[in-house]
Amino acid sequence: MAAPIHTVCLKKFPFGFLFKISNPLPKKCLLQQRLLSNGLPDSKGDTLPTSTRDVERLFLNAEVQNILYRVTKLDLDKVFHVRKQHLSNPVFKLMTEAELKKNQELALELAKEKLQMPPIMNQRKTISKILAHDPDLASIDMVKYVFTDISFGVKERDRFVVVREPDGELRYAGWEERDRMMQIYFPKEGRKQIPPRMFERPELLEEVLTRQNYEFVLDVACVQYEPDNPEYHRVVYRAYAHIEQTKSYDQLRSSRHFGCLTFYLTMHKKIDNLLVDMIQRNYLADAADTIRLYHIFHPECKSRAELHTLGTEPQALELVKLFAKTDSQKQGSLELALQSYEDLHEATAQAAQ
Amino acid sequence: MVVAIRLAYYGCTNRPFFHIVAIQHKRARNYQPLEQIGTFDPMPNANDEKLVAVNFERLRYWMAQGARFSRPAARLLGLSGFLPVHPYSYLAARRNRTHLETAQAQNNDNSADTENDNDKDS
Repeated sequence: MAAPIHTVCLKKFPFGFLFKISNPLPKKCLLQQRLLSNGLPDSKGDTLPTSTRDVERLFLNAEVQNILYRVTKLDLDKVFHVRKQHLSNPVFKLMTEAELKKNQELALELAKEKLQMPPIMNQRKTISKILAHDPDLASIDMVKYVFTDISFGVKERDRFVVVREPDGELRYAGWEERDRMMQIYFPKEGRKQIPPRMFERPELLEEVLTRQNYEFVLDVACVQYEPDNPEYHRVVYRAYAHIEQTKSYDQLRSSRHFGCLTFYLTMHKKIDNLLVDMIQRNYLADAADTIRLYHIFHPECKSRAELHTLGTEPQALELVKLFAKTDSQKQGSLELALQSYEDLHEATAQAAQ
Repeated sequence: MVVAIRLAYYGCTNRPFFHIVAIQHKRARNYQPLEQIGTFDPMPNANDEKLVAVNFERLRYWMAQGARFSRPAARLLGLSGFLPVHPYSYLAARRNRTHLETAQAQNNDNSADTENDNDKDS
């Protein structure tokens, strides 16, 4: 099973179109995490009861990926929205119908690339391997020496970074040291040597979130940190929790973060407000998809057990109603939203007649 | 001619910086090398680290071509674990330790003296 997952990684996870393509999930990392899974912490930083489940594997599941892609809703106007660029003269091209169609398809492919989700990974384990004890070398210097291997063609995760401590100990560098060295010798575009202050101080992050600049925060976090960095998790999950509080899901719709947001909320069983939002915008198929995702993540839930009552091909509306009856934590608001949806559609149907 | 792997001194006033280079051993210190295979920054950074970058793959190539190390280069690579630790590193470490001990002993003596003086005064 390892091979298919790895090829999916290689094709699907460059870190954003605008920035340099970084390494895909390494096979070593996946294997390690499968053995020692950490789960997906919620906004308070506690791990879920399902902490033994492998979150990475769930994320890489083909069906989960399809659902998340559908729910994200590719909107070309939003993906290619107007943004500040370097000034240049506009280019006008004269095209035939066939050429125009071809270029439109290319634009669609480009948009799909831009909507690549930053992978959800387990938190990385601390590195604590010691290569040599050398007490005779104690006080060789007052500071430590950090040796980085800059050989060509070595993957970032496989590079050697070792540290000689003043007490003579030779050890592998920790993750923070590794990140700094990699950024010095193999800098990534957009990543800062010193992280932005809103990531260092929680109160500044809260300020930015209050302004509801969610896409900005998530984009900067995605560029700055690797996806298994605990700092990345802290920032991103705080942002998701804030979005859940303010119910401003639509801001992230048709961006690369919506899939991850849905994944997070479904994992934490907080999809009620999201479902209400989807119903109010007439995205009933998305609501059904989210519930299907819920069934994959929580196979022991009541609505899945009662799925057989709906027949082989359940309608989206029926599925949402079943969920509202069984597993919903905000049954009232969800049923109210469904009621308004039905009334609206009855009214339009009658008007059509 | 023999190839040497040694440190070439660059940087500017009050700010040294070294390139680790593979170069014909009779050439001038900063002459254009056969290849630059790393850097060494002798000034500690904000996290109290001295940064060394080495292209170990090319280093192995030059070693295979019969390159000789200069003493500072050999000591540096000995610290990295690539080469065995240089005996001079052990000597330097012991020298530093004895210096630290004598300095500490002197400090203790001084503080003892000042205490005695204070007692006398009061």
